[in-house]
Amino acid sequence: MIEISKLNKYYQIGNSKFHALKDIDLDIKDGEMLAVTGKSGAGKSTLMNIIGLLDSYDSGSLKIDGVEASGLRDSRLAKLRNQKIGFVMQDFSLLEHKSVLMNVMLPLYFNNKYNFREMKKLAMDALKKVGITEQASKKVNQLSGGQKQRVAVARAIINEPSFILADEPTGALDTQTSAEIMALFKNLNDDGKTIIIITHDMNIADFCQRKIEISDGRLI
Amino acid sequence: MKRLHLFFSSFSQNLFSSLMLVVITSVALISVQNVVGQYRYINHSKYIIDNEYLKNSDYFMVDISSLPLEYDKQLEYSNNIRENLSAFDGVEGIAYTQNSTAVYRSTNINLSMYNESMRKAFQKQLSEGEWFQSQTETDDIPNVVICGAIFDDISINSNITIKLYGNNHEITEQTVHVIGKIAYPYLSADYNTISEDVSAQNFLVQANIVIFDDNKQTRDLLDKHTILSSLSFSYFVLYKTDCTPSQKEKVRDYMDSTGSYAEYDKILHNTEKEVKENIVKEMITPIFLLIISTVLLISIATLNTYKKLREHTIYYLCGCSRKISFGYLFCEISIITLVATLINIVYVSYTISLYKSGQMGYNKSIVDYNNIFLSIAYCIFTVLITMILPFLVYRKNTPIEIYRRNRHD
Ligand SMILES: Nc1ncnc2c1ncn2[C@@H]1O[C@H](COP(=O)(O)OP(=O)(O)OP(=O)(O)O)[C@@H](O)[C@H]1O
Ligand SMILES: [Mg+2]
Repeated sequence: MIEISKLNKYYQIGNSKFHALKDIDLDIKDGEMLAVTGKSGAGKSTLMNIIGLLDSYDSGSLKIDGVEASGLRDSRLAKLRNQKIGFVMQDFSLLEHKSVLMNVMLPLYFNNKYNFREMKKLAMDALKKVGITEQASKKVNQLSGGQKQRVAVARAIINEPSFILADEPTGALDTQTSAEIMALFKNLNDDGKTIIIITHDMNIADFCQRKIEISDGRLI
Repeated sequence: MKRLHLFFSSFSQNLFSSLMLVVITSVALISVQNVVGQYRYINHSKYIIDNEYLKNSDYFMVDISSLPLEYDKQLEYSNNIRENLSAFDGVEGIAYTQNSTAVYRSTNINLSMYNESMRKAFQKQLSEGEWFQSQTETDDIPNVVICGAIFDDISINSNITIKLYGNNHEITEQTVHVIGKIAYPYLSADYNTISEDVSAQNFLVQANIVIFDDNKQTRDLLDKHTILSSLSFSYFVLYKTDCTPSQKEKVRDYMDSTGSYAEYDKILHNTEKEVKENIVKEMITPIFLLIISTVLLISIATLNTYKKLREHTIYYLCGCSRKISFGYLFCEISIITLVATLINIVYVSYTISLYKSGQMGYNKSIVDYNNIFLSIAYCIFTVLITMILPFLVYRKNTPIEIYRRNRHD
């Protein structure tokens, strides 16, 4: 459950401030599949960075599963990111020269829950869910774009997070592959995962039950 | 375990450059240690000969080319010169030794007899106990002062037994009573250098040695049971404090006619020259190497940070805090300095063990645990200095910043 109220974000540009998010009020319930749409420069990524605890905000409140994010220390935020959020990015954000398996296991390196053997098993399970177990030992730079995004999804779900944040997950993919990735998200959502997808592509947004639009830093 | 795996998975990309730097740094560090060891030896020697008696003395060397051939005649000749010298008005005494060898705990050691002048001239060596009080020996157990690593565990006022080897290889066990110990790093007097360019370090040698008082009783004892060499061709001639310049002139004229001499000031001058010319010269290359390796290290550290920024952005995404993330970068760089330091510590420890077992006695170098402090100090300094730039680069390039840049590229 994500609760956002009266959230504002400013960017410092030289001496002036740019008001990037204006009084955002938004609740996202568990199990939702939400599309955040808007024109380029509207503030979609800014919102996603804040929800993903990657960036700070200037006023208002953001609660993730009841925990207020403002004022938390870097290490606490990192822990929350690790446990509650899975990311899928437009540029895949994978370690290109490492194996698929290593990439999928990466979030587990940053908590103390599992040993190496358990990590491998969980990674294989996650790869199974996204349907690319055969590629496990390949290096990421040997994969196609669609396969890479599947690896990213596997990494996002390995830690059983509360929700998945995807920023233009299909931005670098062709229509056919995009549809496959969206189908994958849909499957995960059917299994109960909360999914937030940021996109400027209405066809992609149509996969989601709920759609919101940002324009000029404001929800409309 | 997991962290180590992640660390090595990232570090493996830098393996080659790291290895090269470790080699360069280790070579440089080891050379620095060697030169520092030599410098400490010179410095310690200078400290020992810097005393009121030697300041008012000359180092005399008999002209060996005019020596007779047979031992007896040589002895007579050299004794003659020594007696003549001590008979001069301004001369207080001759600091000379008579030497022999023995065996202690199956290691060969030296024996030496010091007369009173000798004790005065090298008084600063003593760290514990005292020198002999003249004419106090009555019983069969002679008093001695010991010097050397093999006597490390012997305490003052204990007795030790040494084996004396006689003229016909007969062995006598002799018990001696320890009344004094020579200070670490166990340098004892040595007159083997015959040169007017003699410097402080030539007068001291690292050795295991038992020093006796030069009196009739010990002389008889050593003469009887060992091959005592009473030949002395070089020694310090100590002047009286009230010795006039003309008295000194006469002594020096005599020394010139039978050999040569080096004034104390000349010795001091030679010592300083040695530091300037040898030590500074020898220091230049390793210091240069160290600077190069440090500069290389800084550049590689900074490049590495730039190269891995994206990788660390992904770590951040997956829930690694900025601090821990920087910790990984820090370790990737510091491991180079750490390994080089570790190699250096192993090298120094090995050298120390060689000294302790007496295998490196004539190296004219003091290497001990202080050298390890030096490596550790180097390590801390270098780790700090090489992390400044990477830290600034890392701090400036936040993950959000990098994502934005990537999207716009
Ligand atoms: N670090 C920053 N400093 C200054 N301005 C910024 C910064 N990041 C974003 N902005 C500005 O904030 C606004 C919103 O940016 P954001 O990246 O959220 O847009 P977006 O909706 O994701 O656009 P796109 O569809 O192109 O990705 C833009 O006008 C952008 O220029
Ligand atoms: Mg964006």
